[in-house]
Formats: sequence, C-alpha cells, structure tokens
Amino acid sequence: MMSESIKELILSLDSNAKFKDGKDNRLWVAIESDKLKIVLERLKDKGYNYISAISGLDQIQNGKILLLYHIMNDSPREYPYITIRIELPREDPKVSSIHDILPGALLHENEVFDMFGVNFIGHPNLGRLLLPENVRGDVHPLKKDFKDSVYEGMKK
Amino acid sequence: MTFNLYFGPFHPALKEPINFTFEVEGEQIVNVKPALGYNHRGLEKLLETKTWLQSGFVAEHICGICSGSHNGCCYQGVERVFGIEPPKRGLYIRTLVWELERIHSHLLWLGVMLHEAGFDTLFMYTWRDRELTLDLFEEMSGRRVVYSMNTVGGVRRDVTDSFLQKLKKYCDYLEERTKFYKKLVLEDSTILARFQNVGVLSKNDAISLSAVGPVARASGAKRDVRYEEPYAVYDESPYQIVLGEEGDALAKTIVRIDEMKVSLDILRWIADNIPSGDYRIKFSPMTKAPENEAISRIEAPRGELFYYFKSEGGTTPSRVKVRTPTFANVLPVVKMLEGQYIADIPVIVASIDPCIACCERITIIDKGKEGVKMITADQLRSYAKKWYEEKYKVERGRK
Repeated sequence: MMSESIKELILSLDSNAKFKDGKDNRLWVAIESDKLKIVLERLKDKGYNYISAISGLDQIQNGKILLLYHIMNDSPREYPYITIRIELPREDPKVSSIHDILPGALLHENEVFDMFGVNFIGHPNLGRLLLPENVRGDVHPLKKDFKDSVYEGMKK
Repeated sequence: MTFNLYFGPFHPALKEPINFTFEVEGEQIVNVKPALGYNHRGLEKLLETKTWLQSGFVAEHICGICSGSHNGCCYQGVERVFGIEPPKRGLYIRTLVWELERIHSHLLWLGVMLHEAGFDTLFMYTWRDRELTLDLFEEMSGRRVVYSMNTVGGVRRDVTDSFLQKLKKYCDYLEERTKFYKKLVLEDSTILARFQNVGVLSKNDAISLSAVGPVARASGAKRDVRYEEPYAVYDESPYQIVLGEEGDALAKTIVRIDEMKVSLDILRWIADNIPSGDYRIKFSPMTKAPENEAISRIEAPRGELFYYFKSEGGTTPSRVKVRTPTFANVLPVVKMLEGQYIADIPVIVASIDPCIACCERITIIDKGKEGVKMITADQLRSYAKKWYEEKYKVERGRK
C-alpha cells in the first residue's frame, strides 16, 4: 500500500519516472533533473529527511554525468531508502541546489562540484572542498578523461 | 568587533586534519567556517584501478582506527555486486571484528576526550584497556591496527576456540571497566562542569543536518544502521539501540560508554553461538563482475559508513563512492560550536569523535593590531583550564 503511494507520488510529479526495485528495500528512481527539487520536497514531507550521500558518475560513452541522491526515511516504511538518479549533459552540467530542502547536502554538493564540475545553482558557497583552492580551471579528477593535469592547474 | 581565529589543520599523524575559521567576539564564537581536504589522497580514483579483490586492501587504509569497518563495508558492497552470500561463520567473525573495533575506537576516543578536558591519568587508563583489544586483534589476525580480516565471500582467517575463551575473559574485565568509567564521568564534578550543556545539538538539528552515529544518538535521533537495516548477523544478535537525550558532550560520552557495553554483549553472544563450518567461499582474483550497482552501509564506530559501487562488467569497478561518518558530522559540529566559548573548542570538536585533527597549531589573528599569534594545542588546553578555574572562582566568590 505504502510503496504504491510513494511510486504514485513520484509518478504524479514526473510521468516519465522509471523505477527499479533493488535489494534491501531500496527503490531506485530515475527522474528528470528539473523535477528533482519538487520530488525531494514532497518526499521530505513523507519523512525522507536524511541524505547519505550524492554520488556522481561520469558516463563518457553517453556524454552524460549522472547524479545519485541517496536519501532515507527514519520511520519504518516499505521503501526506507530511495536512490534518485538524474542525468545531466556532460558539457556544462547544471542542477539546482537542494540545500534549502536537505541542509545536510551542502558539503556533498561541494564535493560533487569538486570532483565532477557540476554547477549547483543556488549553492551559497560553491567552491573547492577537497582539492586545494589554488587548483584552477576545469580540473575535476573523477571525470573519466582526467589526466594528471592537476599539477599544471596548481601552477600559478 | 569580531576576530578571526584559525583552528587547524595539523597534526596529521594523530587524526585527520581539518581547518576551522572561527569568528569570535570576546570569548564567544559567532560563526564557523570549516575547510576540508588537507588529507585528501584521491582514494576513490585509485579504487577505480584496483580489482574487486584488491579494493578492500586500499579501502582499509582510508582510516587507521576503523580500518576493519572500511574493509568489511567495501567487501560487503563487492559481494552485493556479484550476488555472493558469505557463509554464516564468516559473517559471525566479521561482526566480531566490527564490534571489537567499536570498543577499541570508543576507548581511544574516551581517552582523547578526557585528555582534552585535562584528565591525562584517565587517558592512560583508557588506552591501557584499549591495548587489550589490540592484543586480541594481534592474536586473531597477526596485526594490531590494519587487520585485513575480510575478503570477498567471508573472512581471511578463522578464529580458534582458545581465542574465543580469551575473548570472554576480556569481556568480563572490560564490563567492569566500563562501569567504572560511567560512574566516574557521572560523578566527577570537574568532568560534569566541562561536559554538561557544552556543545548541545538539538534533536531537530541532528535530523535536519543529517548527523550520524553517536552524535545523532546522543541527541535522541534513531540513526544506527544496525537498527535501520541489520546487516551481517545483527538481526539475531542481542543488539539494542542506545539513545541519549540532551545532546551535549556528556550525553555523547555516556552514549559511547553504553554502546561499549552493548558491544560486549554482542561479543559474548558471538563467542557462545558461533557456528562451525566454512568461513569463506572461493573467489578468484580476476573474476569479471556482472553489470550492476550496489550500496553497502554499515555502522562504523563513528556512524554510518557508505559505499557505492558501479560495475560495467570488468575486473575493476568503474566508480566507487565512499562517504565517511566524519564528513557527515562536519555540519553538525559547526552548529554545535556556534555561540560557545573558545575554551570549549577542544571538548566540542573532540565530542564528535573526529577522524580529523586540529589542535596542534592555532593562529590567532588580531584584526585590530594586525599581529599574528601562534599557540599550540597544549597552550590552548592550559588556557581552557585556567579560564575555567577563574570562572569557578568568580562563581564561588559570589556565593
């Protein structure tokens, strides 16, 4: 019953959403990137208030960058864990920041920017987090076509 | 008028380095900015070049204290990619490693926490007890710190009956010690003065900032992977969630001491109920994985440890994402520090059990005088001690 309502809720917000039932009660959802904010907002009303991580995936063969938002619900449900997958173009990836919905996502967004160069619109302090501040230019080490240009990037 | 107080990032040998910039007004902290990355080694990129079997050996070097958790969590994820289920005895030994590690980590933390408050004798006491845990690890795996116990499909070494007998004796001894520590922390007036109502994190903040581990539980938030999603053999074990209420440094201490007791119960249960049979299944090093993705979460001593694996059908993963518990607790500690006194910084930062270190060098920049003053961690500690002595003298004088 409950699981249907979660799927229906997401379908009512994005009719093209694709679902995959994973092991361990995890629901994998693929949605459009512009629907991300509204879906997360509605899911938060349902109790999904914890974000484990945002993991980026570079799919160089399709020219896409995938972002996976792993969220969780504290109270017992049919689907306590949801992974929301969005696709961004590899050239100039942009998505709106979700820190106003889930404040815990702030540093994760910084990390994804650092490693994949995804631009989070509305992020208050989008900059390098793990790499040194003096790494300049388009240096994002977890992209598949990254070469050791980081040392050149560090030269002032 | 506010001053900037730079805190960290070194000493890297003791804990992971982090840098905080405190905006202070007098003795009070107005604003905090964390800066990470001083210990970034690019391990996620490195993991993409390692085979499935090698990945755990890299993963366990992410952290020196919870190496067994990283190692086990990594292989648990690899098993989910392949769809392998390890034999029961292997899972029991894995759980044994995780729980022993929790005790060792909490004892280590308790010592550091009391040391930050000026109790160096207690630091020696807890670290002496921790030594026994390391001896057990040495007997079990041959190593004291990075044990490499897990592998794909089980564990690498079996445990003997004589080891399990020793484990039981160890549990009995440590149970007495945890009682002693709890009594001491709750009764000593100086510890209470330093820990009570210091660095409070409210339950709402813990939930909204996605705090993990004992930090969240001390505030009353039910965040424990063993509770939410029992992995390995936790669903059968006598595990109980330990919750605090106040969310201050004292609650964080008590939650961790109580958790040690729960871990001891689980260890005793494992020693009594471990099944015989295989402890691993055969796994060839160059096996190709199916095209799959998997998430592995475990409760490391500091909180939820998160691994994400993406396989595109090769002998190596195409992406590994690691989210360590301290990373999730950086925002909560920033929240805890706001509005607190400079003298409480060591205790508050230590109270999240940071796998981060800061305290070896602090620069105080006085904007008004444009002078730079460096103080060491020891100086800050003695400063904190003096500051508290003065404070209590004044209060006693009023009475």
